[in-house]
Amino acid sequence: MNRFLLLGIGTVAGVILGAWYGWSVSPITYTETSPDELRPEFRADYVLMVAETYSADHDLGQAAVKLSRLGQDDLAGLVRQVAQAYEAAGYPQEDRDRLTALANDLARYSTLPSAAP
Amino acid sequence: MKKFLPFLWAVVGLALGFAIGLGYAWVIQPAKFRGAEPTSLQPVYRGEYILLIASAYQATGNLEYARTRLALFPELGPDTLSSLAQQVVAAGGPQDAARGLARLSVVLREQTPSPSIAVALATPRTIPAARITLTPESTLAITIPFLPTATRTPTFAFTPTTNPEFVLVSKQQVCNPLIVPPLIQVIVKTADGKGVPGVQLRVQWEGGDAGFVTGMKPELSPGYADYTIQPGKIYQLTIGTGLTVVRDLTAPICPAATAILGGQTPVTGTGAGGPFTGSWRMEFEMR
Repeated sequence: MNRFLLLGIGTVAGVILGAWYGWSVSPITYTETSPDELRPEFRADYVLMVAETYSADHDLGQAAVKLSRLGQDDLAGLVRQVAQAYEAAGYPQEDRDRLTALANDLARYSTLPSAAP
Repeated sequence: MKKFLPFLWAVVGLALGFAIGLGYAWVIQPAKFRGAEPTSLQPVYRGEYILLIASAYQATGNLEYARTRLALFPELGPDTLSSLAQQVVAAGGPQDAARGLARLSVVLREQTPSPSIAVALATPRTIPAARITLTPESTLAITIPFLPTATRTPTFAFTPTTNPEFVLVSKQQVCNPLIVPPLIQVIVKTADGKGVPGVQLRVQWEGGDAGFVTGMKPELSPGYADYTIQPGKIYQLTIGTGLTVVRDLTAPICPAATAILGGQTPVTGTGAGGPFTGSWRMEFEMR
């Protein structure tokens, strides 16, 4: 068989094999990441953990500091979003209650008193 | 040889192609980043994440969630958790997290070990199916995070609704020459006699103070903790929220060890001849 043909076939097979290895078997891993880069399910669980902790210590400042690590400005909105997602996924009521309580408190205390109507 | 020469070209092509394909997959078009896992966080955030797991456990007591979350960090065995709790206390970190870590350490140690424990929650969760695999514990590269102090609850602040009360039920000198160096030994129990891990203690003396926490030596009791004291110094022990204080603790002087041990001379210890320095043992009941 023509040696150039064999070289070409080998190269094509190698490219396919190399790409498969690089994408599936040993894909690039990311290290030294920050919480705002967490996968959605871990972000949601992070928010739940903050809500769980808040349900016991009622330290809204701490909760806000921890939530701010997720890189979102609207903290109450973020917690509410997670509460809704958990409701849709059928999570236990107590989880949703904790999230809702935190979202409500964040919304209440982060809003400056408005001028009298 | 000549017969195999054409196939050599195929092998060369394969190697060349593999390198090109790998370069494409790793450099030019890497797999889409679908988000980070907690294990890939920077040490300071990883530490914060772990403390959050402990705080959430301390708040809810939900062991299933805590185990699922901890399973993401296979290096976090009971010993590592216990040592982390110590680090948090020593660094003046959040109390509830230290308590949670100590409690988790005790609870996980009490579990019957098996090669791997599949953790499945009763309700569907989006966290990937987690497995706790028993691996040799390794050093954990985390940093104990410090959150802004402006918003942090002061250490030992009294919150009547959540903080239990500790009552000193016994205080005795321990004249055992085998306990070297002398210690302040503390056992915290519930009314029904169960050891309570994760209770914060603080010793203060002229010119210094240090924190420690129960549950670090679960082989003795989940509610046990001790602190090494130096002869001649006067210590004050504070437990929990700071309302229960034992003052004027100095290492007691015990008579010759031979009397204590019924005529046997200790092989080790300070009492191998004359009087020696003893320890204190105090038992508290949590109410």
